[in-house]
This record gives sequence, C-alpha cells and structure tokens, in this order.
Amino acid sequence: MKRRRFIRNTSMFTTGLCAAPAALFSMESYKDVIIGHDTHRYKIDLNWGALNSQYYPVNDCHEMVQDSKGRILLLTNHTKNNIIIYDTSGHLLETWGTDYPGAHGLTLHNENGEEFLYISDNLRHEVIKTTLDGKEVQVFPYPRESGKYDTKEQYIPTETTIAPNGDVFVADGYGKQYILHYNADGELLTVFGGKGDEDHLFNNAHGICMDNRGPGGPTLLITARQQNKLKRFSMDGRFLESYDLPGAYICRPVIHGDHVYLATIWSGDGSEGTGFVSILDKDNRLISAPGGCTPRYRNGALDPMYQAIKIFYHPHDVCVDKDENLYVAQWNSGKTYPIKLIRV
Amino acid sequence: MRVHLLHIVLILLFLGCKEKRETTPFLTHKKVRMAPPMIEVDSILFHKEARVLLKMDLEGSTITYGLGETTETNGTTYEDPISIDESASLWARAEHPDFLPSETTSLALYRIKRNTTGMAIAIAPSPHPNYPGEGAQILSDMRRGDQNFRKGKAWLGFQSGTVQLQLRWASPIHISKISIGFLADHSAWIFAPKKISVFSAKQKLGEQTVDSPTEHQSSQLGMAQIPIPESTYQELQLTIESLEAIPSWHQGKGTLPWLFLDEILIE
Repeated sequence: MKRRRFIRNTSMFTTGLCAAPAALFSMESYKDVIIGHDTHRYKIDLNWGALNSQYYPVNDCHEMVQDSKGRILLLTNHTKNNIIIYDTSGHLLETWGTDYPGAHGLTLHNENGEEFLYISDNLRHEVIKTTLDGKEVQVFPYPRESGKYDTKEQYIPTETTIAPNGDVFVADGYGKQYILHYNADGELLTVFGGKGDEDHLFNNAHGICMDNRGPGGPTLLITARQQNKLKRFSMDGRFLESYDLPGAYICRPVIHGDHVYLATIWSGDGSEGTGFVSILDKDNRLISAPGGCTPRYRNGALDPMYQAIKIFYHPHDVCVDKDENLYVAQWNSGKTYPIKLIRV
Repeated sequence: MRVHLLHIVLILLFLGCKEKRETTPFLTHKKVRMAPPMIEVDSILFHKEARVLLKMDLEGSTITYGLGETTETNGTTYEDPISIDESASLWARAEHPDFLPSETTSLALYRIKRNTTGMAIAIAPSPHPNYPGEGAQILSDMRRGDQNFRKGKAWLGFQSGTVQLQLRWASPIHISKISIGFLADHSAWIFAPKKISVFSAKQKLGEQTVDSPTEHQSSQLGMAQIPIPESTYQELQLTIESLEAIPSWHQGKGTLPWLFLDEILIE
C-alpha cells in the first residue's frame, strides 16, 4: 500500500512539475501591458472604436469630444459620416454629417444648458456651429474683413475655443497662422498672431483652448506644433509665456482637471509614424508620455522626446472622459478607428 | 476522502494550461514592437572621430548595436557612447521584456578625406522656392541635414525630374570618388534619385544607380557613391535623375517625386 501510494504521489508531482512551465508561460502571454509614466498610466484597448468600414468608414480621425450624456463624438473627414457617436464602451450609437469634406477641428460648448459643436473645416474654409444632432445654426466664414487674406483659400482653420460668453477664438493653423476673435454673433473683434518664429507668432498654430486653471482669470493655450511649443496668451492676444516640449509635435491642448493632454502626432526628428501622447501637470511640466520615452527635466529644460513603443501612428487628438480614460483619434493612420487608454 | 495537496496543485496547474482563455480587451505582452532607438551623433561627417549616443529611455529597455551587417544574433549591449574613427554603418535596435524588439535602425558615418569648401557649385534648375536651403553652398558645408527637412535650411528640394550640378575648383585636384547625400521619406513624397552620372567635358566618367524604393522602406539619409577614373580634375558635371514617377503602391502614384539633396563629398 505504502509503495503504491508513493508511486502515485510521485507520478502526480512529476506531472505537475512538467505542466508548471507551460502554465506559467501561458499566463505571461496574457499579461496586459501598461504604458505611461508617473501618476498617469494606462492599459490599451486597440479595438475600442473599430467599426465595419463598409458601412461606417473613416478617412482621418481628427478630433473627439464627450457630451454631457457621456457619449463620445468622433469627427472624421469622410463625408459618409463626418460625426460618429459612440458610448464609452465603443458601441456605435449614431452617425451624421455629409457636408464637411475638410472636417478637422471639433469643439463642444455648453451654452446655457444646450450643447453645440463647432466644426473647423479646412476645405470649406470656415467654422460651422451645429447642434449635437447635426443641424447647422451658424457659420463663421473666412475673415475677409480682417484685411489679412486675399482669398478664402488662404484661410484654413484648424481649431476653435469658446469663451463662457460665447466669444469664439479660431486658430488658422494651416493658413496664415492668425488667431481670430469673434463675438457670439460672428462679428470679428480682434486678430493676433501670424506666421513667424518669435514668441508671439506661430509656425502651425494647430490647436487652441481656454485655460481656467490659474488664479488670474482665463488665458489661451495655443500649440505651435512645428516649433514644439505650447504658448500662453491673454484673452486680448498678448503673449505671456511659452512651454518648450522639444521633440513633441503637439496638436491641441485638452484640459481636464489640473492636467493638459496633447496628442503628439510626430516626435523626435518628426518622421512618419512616431507619435505618442503628452500629459502635462498643473505647472505645465510633461509628466507622462504614453507611447513615448520617459520625460526628464535637467536644469528646468525637458530632454528631447521621442517615441518608445510603436502603438500610436499619428495621434491627432485626445479626449478625456469623466473617468479619466483617454480616447485617441489618429490622422493618416491607414483609416484606423480610435484607441482607448484605460487609466490604471 | 482526504484531499491531498498534490491534487490541488495539479488541478490548478491544469486550469492554467487551458489552450484558450476568455478574450481580454487589453493589449497584452509581446504584441507590439519597441520603437527603434534614437541615434545621436556629433557629426555624421567627421575628420578624426565621431561620438555616437544611442537612446531609448524606457524603464526595462536595452539597446543592442553593431557596425556593418546586422544579424539577429550579433551585436553588443549598449552602455556608453561609441567612438567611430573610420567610415562605418552603425545599426541598433531596442528590446524590452513586454514588447517585441524594434526594427533595426542604421546610420552611415563618413570620415572626410577631402575638404570641399572652396568648390564652386552651379545648379540647374534652381531648387523649388519652398526648399531653397541656404543656396548651393550647403552642398559643401561639411554638414548633413536631418530627417526633419521642414525645419532649418539644410536641404535643397527639387521637383523637376533631373538636376544638373556643375562643380569647379580654382586649380585641378585629384579625385577618385564623388558622393552625394540625399533624403528618402516616402510619407513626404520624397524619393531617392534613380541614377547619378558624373561627366567631365561631356565625357561620362561613372554612374551609380540607386536601389528601387520599396513600399515599407523607412526614411533614410542616403549617400550615393560614384567611383570615377582616378585623375586630376578642375571641373565635373553631375546629372541626378529622379524617378520618372512615384511608384504605383504609393498614394502619389504617377506624379513626379521630390528630390532632396544636402551634401557632396570628394575623395
């Protein structure tokens, strides 16, 4: 009996020893990777926004916003469905939009309890205000009255930001690099910026947002993408300060809480397919770069940034939801749908 | 019946060995690649020595590098800056336990055998107004451009099919080889030249055909080298032909590609 029991136990033990490496290996293969640095790290859902491209095609996925119902709205320049609306799980809810061939910028603004979208269209050369279900309510045409443009085609708006009083700031990021300030009725109030290398000028004023984090009232944050800089201006167009992000070709600033999130379309030497995401803290220091190298500051200056992991191709916008997960829309990425980063 | 510890261990291990787990929505281990490491060099063109730094600052990553041909198994783990004192092609890749190894990146470094300052250069046609560089003299400033051609003025950009360069020296010099630097960045519709021919007084001295572009080729700083009969020359003409048209696999198929040049070296 004892000998039989000994043989049985030894056989089972040996079988277990042989099976253990395979079991451990199979568990390792399913380990979720985590990207990002410091306090902002994420798991990755590459398939979050994937749809049947025969019915819901995209060209470039340019920008995304979340409305008060928690829906995620994606803007693409495919005129079968310029706007694609998902829930946060990635389920398709609805689509609309066939009149925006150059759909590029998407801003959501709550106006006395009702939400509106502002679409910057590169090919229509204008900004269009719509309801959340696609009804056009106002158009901001090219600013002939500014005297800065000879033709409509010179004006290629990339982004807008809306003040609480309804004033609209438009960044002409692909045109002559001006920032145009309108009132809510569409009357042009001021124009500032323009093309150049000085602090108050821009090389690719691609994105703009309003920053209410500081104690001194709202200011404007504007990306100078080719200069790898984020610039701060007063609401009346005075240059205040600049934040250098060497190697980071930042698209538009999105503020959530104390942090600024920027899709970084290229990095390093600006080669194709080198993007990542940049996250700044309340002091506008880069603290996390999902997909990028570790951010390091020496003597107050950021070491040049570059891509570390080939997850993103050309990130063009980051949407931050109420749970601080991120949705990343990509440009010229082979018509791919947005990726979701889940905060851990 | 007593439950033996061994029974429990065996059951747990068996469950772990199941062929298929339920699907996870998250990206898992070893599914995407690392990006190639950054190569930082004080000068691609050097007289005595070049100092190379390799960078991949991500916790847990390592860099493997080598000189010359790369294979899957050769290479040295990078720890300190590398000194190069002869022309060489350096390659490097990044690795990390959580990701697949990066593709190999490479950079050709050239030891300058002959200073080209003092060489007069005439170009026809003129570069495109969007990419005039700092004039013809950038071709003899002993500095290469980088892949960010939109920044700075290190490149002459052409979209004209064929470019003619006339090189002249104050007195005849001994030459056995001409090298010309170019950029290939297909995402920007910039393609390597198809062929470069060298003439003296309308007599062809040599020519070099560049490898045809491939669809997934990464951008590169190339250098085409054209050996010529070793002799003394006071003037040379270079004919640089671009591809007749962008290949069919590219979104710009059928159109005229851009040609970007940055440096001429003489040996």
